[in-house]
Amino acid sequence: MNKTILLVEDNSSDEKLTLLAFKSCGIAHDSFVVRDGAAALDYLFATGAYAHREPASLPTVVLLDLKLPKVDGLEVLRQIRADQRTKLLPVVVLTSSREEEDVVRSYSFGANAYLRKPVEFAAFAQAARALGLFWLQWNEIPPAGAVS
Amino acid sequence: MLNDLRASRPQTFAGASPSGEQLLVELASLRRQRMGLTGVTLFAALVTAGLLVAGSVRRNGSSETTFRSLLEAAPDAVVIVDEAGHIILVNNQAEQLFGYPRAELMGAPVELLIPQRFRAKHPGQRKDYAVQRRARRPMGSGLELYGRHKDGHEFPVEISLGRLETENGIYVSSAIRDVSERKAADEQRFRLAAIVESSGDAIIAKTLQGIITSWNQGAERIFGYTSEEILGKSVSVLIPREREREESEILASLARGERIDQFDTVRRRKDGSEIHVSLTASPVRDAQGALIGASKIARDITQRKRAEWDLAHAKDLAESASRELEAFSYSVAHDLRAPLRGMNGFAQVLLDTYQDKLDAEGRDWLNEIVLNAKRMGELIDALLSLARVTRNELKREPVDLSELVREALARLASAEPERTVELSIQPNLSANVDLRLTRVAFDNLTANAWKFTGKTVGARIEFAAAEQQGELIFSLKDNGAGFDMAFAKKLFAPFQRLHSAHEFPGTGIGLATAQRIVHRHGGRIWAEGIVDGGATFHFTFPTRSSSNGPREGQGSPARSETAS
Repeated sequence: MNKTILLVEDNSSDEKLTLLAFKSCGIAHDSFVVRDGAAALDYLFATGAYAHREPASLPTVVLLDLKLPKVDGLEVLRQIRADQRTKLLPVVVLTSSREEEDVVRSYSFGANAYLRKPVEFAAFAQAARALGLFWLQWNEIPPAGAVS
Repeated sequence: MLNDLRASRPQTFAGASPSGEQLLVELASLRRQRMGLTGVTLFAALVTAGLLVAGSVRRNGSSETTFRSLLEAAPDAVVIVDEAGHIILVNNQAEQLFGYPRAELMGAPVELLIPQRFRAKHPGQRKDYAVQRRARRPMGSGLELYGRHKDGHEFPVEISLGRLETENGIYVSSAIRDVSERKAADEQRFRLAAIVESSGDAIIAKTLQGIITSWNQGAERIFGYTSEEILGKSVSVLIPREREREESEILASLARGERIDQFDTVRRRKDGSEIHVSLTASPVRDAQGALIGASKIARDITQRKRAEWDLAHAKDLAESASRELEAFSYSVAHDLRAPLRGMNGFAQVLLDTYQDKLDAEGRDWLNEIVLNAKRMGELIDALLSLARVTRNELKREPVDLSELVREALARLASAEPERTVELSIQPNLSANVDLRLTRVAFDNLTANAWKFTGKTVGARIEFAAAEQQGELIFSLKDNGAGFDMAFAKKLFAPFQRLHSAHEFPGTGIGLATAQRIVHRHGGRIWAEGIVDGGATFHFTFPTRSSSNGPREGQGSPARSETAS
């Protein structure tokens, strides 16, 4: 199965910088980007613009911003966890906010990790690299179709 | 026979008196007066009867015994004087009441028993009484009468006089009752009545059927009805229609003997307007414990209600302002940081990717962009943490401040392992504070000390506490760059810096944050410094917030306000 990262990001600068950071560690070609929450859900559940997609083929990890157009990040996360197909999908919240409430809510909605985007690119690149490497290379993902 | 007399039944003294008819008249008159001076009259009657008997004492020994026992059985003091005003007969009660032994009273002028200031007029009054026709009357009706004890103290009395024509001349008998207790009780009753009358609250008595039986001025003021208008009417005139059931429930509770305590409700005034009142109602029982009605106190709480509304409104405003601030903070955090990340990021990428195409100056300028964006990010974070200090609620708990200082300095030391700083931390200093906020304050204060000792040889940071005038003052002292005391006040203002960023970098928010946290705890913070001689930050965490009225222990310098 192809290992991909789904990046849900509405800020094009952040998108480019994230991809640049991935590129620096050789994982950029494994990323797919959507720009709002609704698109993220369509992609994952193979609906709407992504109806042609094979629904069983899920990304290895979703990098999810919280503040998103149309459907916000927490709602995307809730729907991912509510659906049998995506219940175990690793989701990493990647956001600007360090508000305690956002952190707590993200984890209580079932996030696997919470990462705050640092302003400094060097730190950001380091975090993005570590993230990509961890989820794509080191982490054992749940077997396809597994439910608990 | 005495028992019968006590029961006040008309009796004939068969064989006790030489003129039975006259005795019968006395007892009949006693019965007529029962509603008034019952006891007094009774004994005046006895005395009168006795005297009639006394006229025959010499002739009949058994009459003497009967008379004497009648006289002594009287609960009132009995004093009989002759026409000249000399005492010719007293009973035990008279001896006790006035404090004289019988021997001293016999033959003495009756004025002996009267306070000095009344004595001069008394013989005249006595003679007037002796010549008048009426056999008996209460003495000095409507006047305050006083007896005088042998020891000089005066006491209020009621006196009933009897006038007797005997073969030895006109005798006047007086039955004297000490009414000190009754006077005191009356006074107490008047005082209570005055208190009820003057109360600002409505004090109302009603029957268990809700008929109003008493109505004070407070009730008149609050409800608008005069007592003439409302007495005898049902309390339902005061109840708004939609609350009629409420009153019947109140009456039912009272009938069960239950009390209603501070029940906030609405009542109707005479003019139809409604008024917020707090009701307290209690069942009223008679001496036998039977329920006979209810007392009700209604307090006008319109002002309180208005204050409550105002407070609730102010709270709403504050909460909505706080929500706005929260939304603002959130958007600051998210929206302002994102473009900075772009500036910093692309400058950095440019620097990394096109390094060989740029000369030294070009690289320097790009570095400036990177550094400035980074610095602005730090400022935004600092502002957010300052806002957070104001926003979060205080959760006080005992906190080991010494430990907080130790932890904060350990973090700083691990970030700069190459530095050597001598630490001195007085152990076990604690205070009742919000842990998270206080940690933020200590992080800022210790970071400050750590930073400004960065260029000091033999750097040293101390944390200690000392009691001054009953107050525990904590101090964090360093021997670093210090500051000019002329600028001591500017130290705590946000974005105010006493050193250039080149010398010592920083946001200028740390001390403002620390100050805000100490202030939120009701404490004080101030600084002492010498240029190149170090700085000391003093602060307090009072056990109680000083906003809760006067602080405990004021005026008692011995009490220490330790923060543990």
